[in-house]
Amino acid sequence: MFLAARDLRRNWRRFSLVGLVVGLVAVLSTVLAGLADGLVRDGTSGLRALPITHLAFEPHAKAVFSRSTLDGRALHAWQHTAGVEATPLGVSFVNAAPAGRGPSLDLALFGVQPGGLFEQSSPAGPDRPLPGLVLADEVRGEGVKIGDRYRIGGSGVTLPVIGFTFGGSYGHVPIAYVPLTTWQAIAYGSDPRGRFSAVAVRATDGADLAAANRRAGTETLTKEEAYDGSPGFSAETATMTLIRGFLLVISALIVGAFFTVLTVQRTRQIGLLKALGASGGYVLRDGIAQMAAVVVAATAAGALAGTGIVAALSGGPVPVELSVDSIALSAVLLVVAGIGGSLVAFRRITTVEPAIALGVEP
Amino acid sequence: MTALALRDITVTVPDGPATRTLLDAVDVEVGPGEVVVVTGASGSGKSTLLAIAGLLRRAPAGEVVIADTPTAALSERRRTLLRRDHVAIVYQSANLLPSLTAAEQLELVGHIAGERRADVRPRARALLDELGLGTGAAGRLPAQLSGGERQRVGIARALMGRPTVLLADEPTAALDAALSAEVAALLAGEARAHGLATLVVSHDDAPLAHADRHLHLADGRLAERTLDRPPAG
Repeated sequence: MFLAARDLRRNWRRFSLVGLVVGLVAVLSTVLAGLADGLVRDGTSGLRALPITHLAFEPHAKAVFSRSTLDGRALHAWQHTAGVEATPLGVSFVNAAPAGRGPSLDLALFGVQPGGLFEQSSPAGPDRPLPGLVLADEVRGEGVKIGDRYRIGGSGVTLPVIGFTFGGSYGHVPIAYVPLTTWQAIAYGSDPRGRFSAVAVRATDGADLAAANRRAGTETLTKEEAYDGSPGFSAETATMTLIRGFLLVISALIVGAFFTVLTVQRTRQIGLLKALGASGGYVLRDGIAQMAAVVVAATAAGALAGTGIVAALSGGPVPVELSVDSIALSAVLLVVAGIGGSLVAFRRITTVEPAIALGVEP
Repeated sequence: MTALALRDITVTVPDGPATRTLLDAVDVEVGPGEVVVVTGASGSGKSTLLAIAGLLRRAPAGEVVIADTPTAALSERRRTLLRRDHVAIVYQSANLLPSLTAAEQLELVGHIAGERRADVRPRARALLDELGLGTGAAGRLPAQLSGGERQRVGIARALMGRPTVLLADEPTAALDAALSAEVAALLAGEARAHGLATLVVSHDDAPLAHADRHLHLADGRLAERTLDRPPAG
């Protein structure tokens, strides 16, 4: 990098424009990484927080709770499987209108059985479930207080707020825990017949989930696979992936175009280096090192600025999450894309003949 | 030892629908410490002759021998290594790299050859001193040097790789008369001092004052011309 380093130091203005563009792409890419992670968190943090490994759905439900209805037979089969803890889970989306004062709430209603896997979230008294809402913490910020009463839309059921917990959100709305019997009354009215949406499973490594599925007539997904069922999750992640992919392509094209022009401008210089006895590999290494230095520095600066923006947005209405892994991956991909783009330009280096140094056509 | 020999070199170039013979069975041999000047009109093939002698391009026919090594059958990689280790070129307008200081122009040659920086730096300084370029010039970029200083740096860079063969392409063409004479004398003096087989192509007469032999290129053929003075060596 003998020539590249000195050229960078003495002609930094020449590289500042491409550095600025790559840096801005890195800012955008970092903010998008934060937004993508934030959207994933906003869509699935409720599921993620559940102390389970799998969810068993009705076959073909594709992790969508509203498409899955199970009953006591399936639950019994799962609860009698070795190496498995299983509990019923009812999930539906409702609007809760305040019976007195307070804001109207869109909620992901999680019906759970007191005790067992969801002990911490369960609205339970000393000997029986308490019919009330345990709301995700973030709702507290909207002015909701313990004791407020809410009418659950479409059911005629009115419930008091009896507590707050870390519930997270599901499908971008905060989770409210209710006893399963209350959830069934809201979902099925007076004829619940023991129905619920899915079986929440915590399985040890050796547990025979396939056999349990056969007996229960269910289809089991890991908790992470079940994220796909969150409303909008697949579309959001696909959109974010597409935008970030486009950014990588744009970055590769910008870097490639810049270094193509630079290589053309330097044709005689490259010829001179070869005339001095430099091999094609020497010239190539010098060029790649120079490009890598520009792209790495610009990406690092951009990623740092982007991280600052994500940190500033964190906790506000925009769903962002600061994940070092994700931001680092985004930066690494940007550098790789830049190097990939420049390789097209550097192909030219190998074709420059040393006779150019004398102004002789080879 | 054969420092530099071109044997039966023939080059033809497209000329409209026909072809033109630029170099026609050219033979020339240059011994260590000998300075041979080739003159000829513009477009007569002088630079092509130099490019072939410097292994910058292959001759379609004929053989180039450098430091006892026939090169026609060598791979590109071997030719590059031979050029790096045995051939140096002084260019018209010096052809310096704009982002390197005078000292770094020389250090680059050592870097390309894979030498240690600790060995390269003092040698570069010593050569610049030898060429009359003091400490002030060593740290300056080409744009901050005069035309004469740039050409001195170009000569010093050529000497840096301890070559066997020194080629010079119109080394005085971009200089005024006084500087031309000075640079031509310097080039020939350094070539002899370092025992280099030196081939200079020029369309002006300044290098002839210091030549051992004068060849003239016309219609693709090299003809020996008598120097109007005793050989300079």
